[in-house]
Amino acid sequence: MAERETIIGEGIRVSGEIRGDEDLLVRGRVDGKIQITQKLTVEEGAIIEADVDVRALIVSGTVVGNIVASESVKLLASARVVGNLASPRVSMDAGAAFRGRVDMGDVEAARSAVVARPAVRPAQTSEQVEKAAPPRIAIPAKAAPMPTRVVPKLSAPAPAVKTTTTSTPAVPTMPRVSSASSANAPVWAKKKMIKRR
Amino acid sequence: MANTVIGSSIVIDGEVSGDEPITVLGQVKGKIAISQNVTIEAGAHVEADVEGQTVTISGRVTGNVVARERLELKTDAKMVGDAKAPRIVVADGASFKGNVDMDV
Amino acid sequence: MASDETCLIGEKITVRGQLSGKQDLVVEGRIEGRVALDSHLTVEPSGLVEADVEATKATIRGEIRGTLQATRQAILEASSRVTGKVSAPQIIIEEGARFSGEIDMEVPLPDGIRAGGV
Repeated sequence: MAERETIIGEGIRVSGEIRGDEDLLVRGRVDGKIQITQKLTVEEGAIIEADVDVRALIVSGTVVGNIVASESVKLLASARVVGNLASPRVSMDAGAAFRGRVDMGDVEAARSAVVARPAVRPAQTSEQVEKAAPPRIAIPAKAAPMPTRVVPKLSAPAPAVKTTTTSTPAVPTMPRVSSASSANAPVWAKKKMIKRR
Repeated sequence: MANTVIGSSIVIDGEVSGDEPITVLGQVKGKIAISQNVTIEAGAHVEADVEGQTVTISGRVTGNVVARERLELKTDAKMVGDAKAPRIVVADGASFKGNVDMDV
Repeated sequence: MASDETCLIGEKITVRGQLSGKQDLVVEGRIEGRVALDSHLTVEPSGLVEADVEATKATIRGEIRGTLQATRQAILEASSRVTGKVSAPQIIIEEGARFSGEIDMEVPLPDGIRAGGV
């Protein structure tokens, strides 16, 4: 039942975890973690520094964090998003700015990784995230053992027709990219990191 | 422009702060520090210290409450914690346990 | 810079190697290798590009595997399938597009917000 809607007004800041079963509209600031079984709307001017696990996400504001949406993600023109995105449907309007991974495959794996992570302040999140080793995804040849959950699913829809390619969905050329940055480490990589700890 | 409303199915574990009025119908665990009015509706469950301008409680609050202007406990309100406010109204039927400081 | 004529790589053509130029290119077939264009690249639904691509503008309706760098704009239309990395100052992803990989754009963030590790 998603008729009710929780609103975090422009002058409000929530630091911590927000969980719930109704639509959430954010005009202010949230840092920590958001887990909603319904729709999250981030309005222009709103700032979210949190991992997000929702059904549907519409962004016109700023989101820094990892996003899992079981249904869809829409980045509207004024969206500013940094982080990894996992959702079966992703759309981006002209003007939206995004940096990070996009994964339309194994949303469930991405979700359990996000859910398992404790809600931490953004500063801590950055540290955790920086520890994630990019090489994990940087070695496509060896990537086979690691993202086993992801590879089969991702290859299923697309190259059923096209054969040959041993290249996994993981980007062959990604390793040489500038920021060996955490924001690019897939969510499941981080999950592995944490379990190790 | 709707004010901030924390809906009944929402659980917040952390701090809520800001300078606009808020209405809580759900659960908040942690801290509420608002420079405007705080309304805790019936059915809401707050385990937090609360600071507000006028704090109106119809639900359940476990924590210390500081109201800069006024604290009001409505019928069926249940509060456990210390209250500090220049004016306090406790309605018939409200339940309150804690210290009261009106010398603000 | 692009001339008026558009170069077309037909559905039954495969190009392996390096392809560069200043002419708009429409790909209905297959390219493997590297593409460097100072113009507009269109990959039609039947097209498959397994390459590192540089172009001014890229309109993708087919499949791309590799890196795509557009100096002005990249559009991933509904029938597109992209695996790899896309970077452009403006990126449009239509509903229905299937994307798996990374997007690299400049993201201006409000003061005081740090994007972890970036």
